[in-house]
Amino acid sequence: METVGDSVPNGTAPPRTTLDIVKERFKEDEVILSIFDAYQIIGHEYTNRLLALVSSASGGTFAIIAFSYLRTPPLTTVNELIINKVFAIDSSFQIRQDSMGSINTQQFDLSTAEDGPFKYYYFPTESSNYEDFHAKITSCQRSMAQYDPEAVLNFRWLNDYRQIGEVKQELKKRESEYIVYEDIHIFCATWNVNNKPCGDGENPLRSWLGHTAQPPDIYAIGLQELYAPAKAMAYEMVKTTQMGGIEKTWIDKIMASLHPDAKYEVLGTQRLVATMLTVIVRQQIRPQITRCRLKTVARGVFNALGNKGGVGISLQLNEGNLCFINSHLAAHMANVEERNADYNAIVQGMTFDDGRTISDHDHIFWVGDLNYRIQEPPGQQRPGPMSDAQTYELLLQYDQLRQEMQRGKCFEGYTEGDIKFRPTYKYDPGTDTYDSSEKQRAPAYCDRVLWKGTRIEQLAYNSIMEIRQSDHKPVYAVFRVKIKTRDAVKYKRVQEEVLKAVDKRENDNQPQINVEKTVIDFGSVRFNEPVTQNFTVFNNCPLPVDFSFKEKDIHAICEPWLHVDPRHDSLLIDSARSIRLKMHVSVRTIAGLLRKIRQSDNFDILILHVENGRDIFITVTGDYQPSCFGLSMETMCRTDRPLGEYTQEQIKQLINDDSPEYRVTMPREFFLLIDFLYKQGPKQEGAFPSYDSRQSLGSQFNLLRDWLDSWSDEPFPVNAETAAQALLLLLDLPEQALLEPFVEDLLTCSNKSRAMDYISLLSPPKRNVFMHLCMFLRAGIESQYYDLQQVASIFGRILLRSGECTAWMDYHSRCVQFMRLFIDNDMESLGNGNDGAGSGDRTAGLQA
Amino acid sequence: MATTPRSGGVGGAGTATRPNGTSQNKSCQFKLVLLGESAVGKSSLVLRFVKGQFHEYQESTIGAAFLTQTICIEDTVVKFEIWDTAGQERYHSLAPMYYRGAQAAIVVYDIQNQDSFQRAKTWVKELHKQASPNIVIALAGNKADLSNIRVVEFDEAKQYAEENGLLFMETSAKTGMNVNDIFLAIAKKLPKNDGANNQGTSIRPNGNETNRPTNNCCK
Repeated sequence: METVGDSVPNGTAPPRTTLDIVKERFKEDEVILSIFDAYQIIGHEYTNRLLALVSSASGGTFAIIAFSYLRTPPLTTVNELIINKVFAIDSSFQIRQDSMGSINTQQFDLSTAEDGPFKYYYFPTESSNYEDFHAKITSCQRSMAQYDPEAVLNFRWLNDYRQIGEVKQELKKRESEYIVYEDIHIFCATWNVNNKPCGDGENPLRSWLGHTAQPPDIYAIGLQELYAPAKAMAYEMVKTTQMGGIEKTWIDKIMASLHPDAKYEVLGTQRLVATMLTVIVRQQIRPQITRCRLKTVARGVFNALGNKGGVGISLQLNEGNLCFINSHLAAHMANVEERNADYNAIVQGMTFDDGRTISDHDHIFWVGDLNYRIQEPPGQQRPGPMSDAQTYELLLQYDQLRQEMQRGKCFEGYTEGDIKFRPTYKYDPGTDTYDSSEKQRAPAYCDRVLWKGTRIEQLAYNSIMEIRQSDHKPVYAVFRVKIKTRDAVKYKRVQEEVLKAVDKRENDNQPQINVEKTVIDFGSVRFNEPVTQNFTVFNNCPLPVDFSFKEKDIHAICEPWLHVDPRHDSLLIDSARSIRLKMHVSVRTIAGLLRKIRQSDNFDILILHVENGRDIFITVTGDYQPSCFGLSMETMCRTDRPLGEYTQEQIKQLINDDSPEYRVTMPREFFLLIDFLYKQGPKQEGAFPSYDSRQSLGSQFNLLRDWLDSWSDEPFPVNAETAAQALLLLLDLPEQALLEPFVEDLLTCSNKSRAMDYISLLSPPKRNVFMHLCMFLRAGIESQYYDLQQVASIFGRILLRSGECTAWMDYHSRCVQFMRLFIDNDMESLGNGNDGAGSGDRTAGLQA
Repeated sequence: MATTPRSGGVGGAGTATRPNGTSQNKSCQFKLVLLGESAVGKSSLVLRFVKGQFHEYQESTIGAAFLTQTICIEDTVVKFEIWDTAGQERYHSLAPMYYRGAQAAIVVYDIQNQDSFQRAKTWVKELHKQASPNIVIALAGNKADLSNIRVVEFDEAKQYAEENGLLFMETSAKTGMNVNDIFLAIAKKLPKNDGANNQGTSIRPNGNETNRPTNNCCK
């Protein structure tokens, strides 16, 4: 690793900007296009966020990474940044600004298909230039839109910033501990074949490709002028058929001519019209190649037809990235600028479809007919066959390529080995004689091999004179390259250490909150008496924590008799929050609570969830003080003492008891209410005004509740209206309607005798309650204390309460109709089924 | 401003090697839940596995603790998201929230406690009925360091596990015996080919499909 120490002796380190620090969080091929200071409001506090707009070369895509700070900014080291959210800038990404922002605070939302929108705020200052940030995002979005809409965008690089990627980042940091360098031999070759066929024989190119002492590991062979019909327009036509055949013939001949001591396979071949690059690898290294991409950049006529241009192959071997380019640049002595332009266009255009450009590789090899000529030194252009090195050196002083490279016009950063061979162009085909035609073209080093990158050593660079069919001579260069490779054993060790460390950090840095208690005991809880309990949660971990109560399978965070406030909140470091828990056993919730009590020893369990952390179960208990309200008639008939004397556990047993043994014919509490109302005579007039009267139960009601639940000897404590209300509740609150399980049958009965058949099938307590109630109502109606229609309506809906039948169009009128069978004196045609109810002595007739 | 050109072309070749570009690094993430009667050692197993520690007096879990642990098997990085649930019976009704969506479960019992083994069987039944059908279940007979006072025989548990298609090991969170092994065995059994694992698709440039030249990329 070649990091430059950033501390200067004597401690005068140059000031590092936030951007410099943030950069450390990213990989070398990722560029921060913009950073932006924003805030999120957590609880009532502004919490700093740093947004970084990042582009990835490997992914060819953009994203916004939102960081939170471990410490209050300004940032001093990269470790203070914690990734908070990752937004891939894909087609679903949206940034929206709220026009409602105030003068000094502005707000915008970020969202993707998976996440958000999340609100961010900022204070417009010079360092938070939203317009600039927004414009950069928009420009990223625009460039993404240029992609083929069908192309799958590569956001894999973002995984490195989501949980599991942390491991990869850490591994990357410790690369030096497991990276070793392995030597491989690369044979690069180029030949302008001048439209000539390959040549006969089994391995016609062996003298060029197969002569090295040691078999190369990789061949990169570039050919030009494979086939060049006179009319450029014809290219497309011949491309698919003829050219395919020509390409195959060439590759077959090449394969046959490779070094005989190793087995090879073609990794990839890319052709642009007549310019072809094929990369061939030894079979034994093939499994170590994990990526291979191809690309062409067309130049030539209209800079588009591709009679000139470049083809490239990018590959990854172990941890090393290699790039091979074969190009055929503009021809003719005078066209130096055109050649430079072709070169630059190829560099610009050669972006492989994983986003890599040529310079994103460790080792780059550029071969081709670059067409740079020798700027005539008079009388020197034609060196004889036996010329010495000095002759070439002299010629090369006038070599346009070297001149242009010196001027920085092309091949910046590239190196070329010493040329110790004759100019490779232009020969009379079939000979070693330079152009003897009328044109007398000056010889030139058109065909070249250059490289750029680290750990590359050239072993050979030469041309082959004895391959003569073309007007160019083939050229080759051999390189020894040290390829970055993982040492498997070391890597595994480092990887395991890293995994452990990352897990440890993740587990240790897990947000945590403490809860004052995990059992909330309400103590004594009574019907119609709300109670509250508070408990405290506090954050003593070094991070802000978000908590919430988790929704359970009941699609709520708690049972309906409970109310939690707040349901979610954020806790800054070292802060606490009191949670208020209210319990209300109301008309609405009593049935559910009794059901819960039957099955469980608690009122509920809340799940307090810490974002990215654990769940804490908070058990809500208490002692429900039983009351007659909500109990079934059967249960009440089994009591042997006032309900107020039962414990929760005892009432649970009583509810779960389903024997047909009853102590009394009807519940004492019911009997007493009826008895009281009956005795009120005219005072009970209008006592059943409407069904909804039960909604507000005042303190009067609780007096009556206590009187009933204690079998008090005191006088009846409340007025007729409250008693009537209590009667309705006593009938309405049990889980099952009084006339279940026959509600549906009874609603469809046309006459009283049919109905009586069903009534007689009810359990004795229910049957007795029903008959006694009807008698009482009939008497009240007869005395004109109640309105028949009203009473039939109220009691019908209670006694015939039903989940299914309520949906009937005529449900209500059927209820009234049914009630009238029993309480309308005019309809009384049959003898009434007086079943042991009566008035008089308060408890007479109750004993079973 | 905060912009730097992407390919400045200055100073040698790009060194943009990315360790995740290679085939060695498939990674998967799995949700694993621990179930079992209270005090059989669920939290201790997790603590041993995740932190290599053991506390003689491990506090009772009131809730569900969440921890992560990553292991390598062959060429795959497997990250477990472990939910260690409270064993007390009163919390039983909340268990489905944790085993739902889990790819793996470890059902733990205490080899000195016959009831806990019966309870483990009930858990297995419940998982078979209600958890994801492909869930990998391991049965762990914990406290194996106390095997001289065992009441649940190894063979009995092993046979039960075989009949029900469970992985089975006797473990000791105290000594560490078989703790890593049981997680490793689960990781091996879990399918690792799904998910966004990317390698292999782009390496065949000679095939027609992948050979398609792409349009000019944005720059």
